[in-house]
Amino acid sequence: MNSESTPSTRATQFRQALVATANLGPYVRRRPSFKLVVGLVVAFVIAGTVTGGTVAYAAIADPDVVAANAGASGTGDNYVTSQDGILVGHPFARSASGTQTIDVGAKPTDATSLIEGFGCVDPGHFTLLVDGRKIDSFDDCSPGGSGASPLTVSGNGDHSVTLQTQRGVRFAVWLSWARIPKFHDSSAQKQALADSWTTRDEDIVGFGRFAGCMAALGHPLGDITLGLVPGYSEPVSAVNDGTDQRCYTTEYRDIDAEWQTEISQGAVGAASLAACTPAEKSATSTGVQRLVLVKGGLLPRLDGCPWIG
Amino acid sequence: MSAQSDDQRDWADALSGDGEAFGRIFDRHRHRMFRHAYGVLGVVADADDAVSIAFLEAWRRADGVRFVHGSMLPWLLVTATNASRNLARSSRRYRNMLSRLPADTHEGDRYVDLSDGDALSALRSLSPADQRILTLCVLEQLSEKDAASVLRIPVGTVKSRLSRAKARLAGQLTPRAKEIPNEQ
Repeated sequence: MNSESTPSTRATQFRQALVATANLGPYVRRRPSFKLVVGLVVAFVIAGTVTGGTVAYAAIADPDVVAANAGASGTGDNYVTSQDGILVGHPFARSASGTQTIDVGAKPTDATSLIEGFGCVDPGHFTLLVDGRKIDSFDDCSPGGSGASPLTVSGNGDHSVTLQTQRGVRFAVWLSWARIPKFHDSSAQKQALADSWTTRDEDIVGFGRFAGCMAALGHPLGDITLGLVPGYSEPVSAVNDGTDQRCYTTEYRDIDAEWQTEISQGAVGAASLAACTPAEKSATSTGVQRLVLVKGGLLPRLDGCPWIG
Repeated sequence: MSAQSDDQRDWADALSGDGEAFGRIFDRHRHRMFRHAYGVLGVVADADDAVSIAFLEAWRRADGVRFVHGSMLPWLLVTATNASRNLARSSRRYRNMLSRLPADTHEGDRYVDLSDGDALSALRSLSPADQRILTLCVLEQLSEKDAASVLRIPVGTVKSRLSRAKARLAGQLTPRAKEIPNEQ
């Protein structure tokens, strides 16, 4: 599959298969995204509430607009998932051009955040306002690009989100209330950072708590190596369902950052590290088991290293 | 109508039933993807499968395909990375298709350096999340914002993960220097 001038037999056959697949007919979404469908329906229903600009419903069949819609809803939905959150109520989705204001109502009692997903169709300058107050502006909206972010909403009562841009500039926006848990440092992590200094001992113990949290939530780490900075692998599903963020933030993030900062700033000499921290790869099957061994086996052998607190 | 890149135009055409357009995307990116997949896997046949799976996944998950500055390559590379790390699971879905493809010998290939460098070996040892972030931000030199778009995560998360990934990559590279026997 990798010869430039004369495609291999495999590459040729595979290309033929791709061509044949696409030639079967226009792509039909196998499993429509419920949220996207709801969003589009909502967009039609609430068309009368739109203020200013032109709602480009007629252009929904345009591949650019379809892609922008999918990008806006996909990034918005994925942001919520990545934060271990859930949607509250139905999202608002809009394919539009020009300045648009979307009324999102009052914050539901069980919601914590308002999330915005945005999909670019045409390049332009965009200003984002919440309740008439400028939140952000950007002009690097490349066609096909998309992004998501939480919006700061304060006060009771109804809220609105406005996208200001030039007339005729098309975009897609997705908005949803969501409940996103806030993760706080565990007491153990706070204690490790109390003296504003992290030792390798504390780093490894923090990593152990992180690994234990992941295992407890069904995503045990694999391929753990204890070099200068712990290495590990984890399933993509752990990132997608928010487990990685939950465990990392709670148990290890700040310790990890502090330790790596100390290393990068030369607080710990690379040469002495190299002499004292051989890359150990343990042999047992789970992160927790390995770290029990590490704590009992590797750390004592590091006693002579100068940075051990 | 905004100007579309070749990838965007071909992808729209492919979704409309123009098979040759899908073929052009394959022609455009397969070499770069193979080099990446080989870097992650280190086995030619597996790298071939990972590339194939990425394209098949593009079709299966067409709604999720993303473009960065008009290019489909970053999305394909991330998908190939995911396929590489879960090759057995990924290939199960396409077993019938993949089993019909002949294996390449890759002899005398002038276009791909298949030698392993230390960095590639180190990259191979990292987690999928680290591999994805390093592939996009270091190898492909995407901005953190563009990488965030491909990975569908906040820019701040890209920043923190990239920092962690770089440190772990350095951590994987450093021990190699220690393999030199100390005669003192």
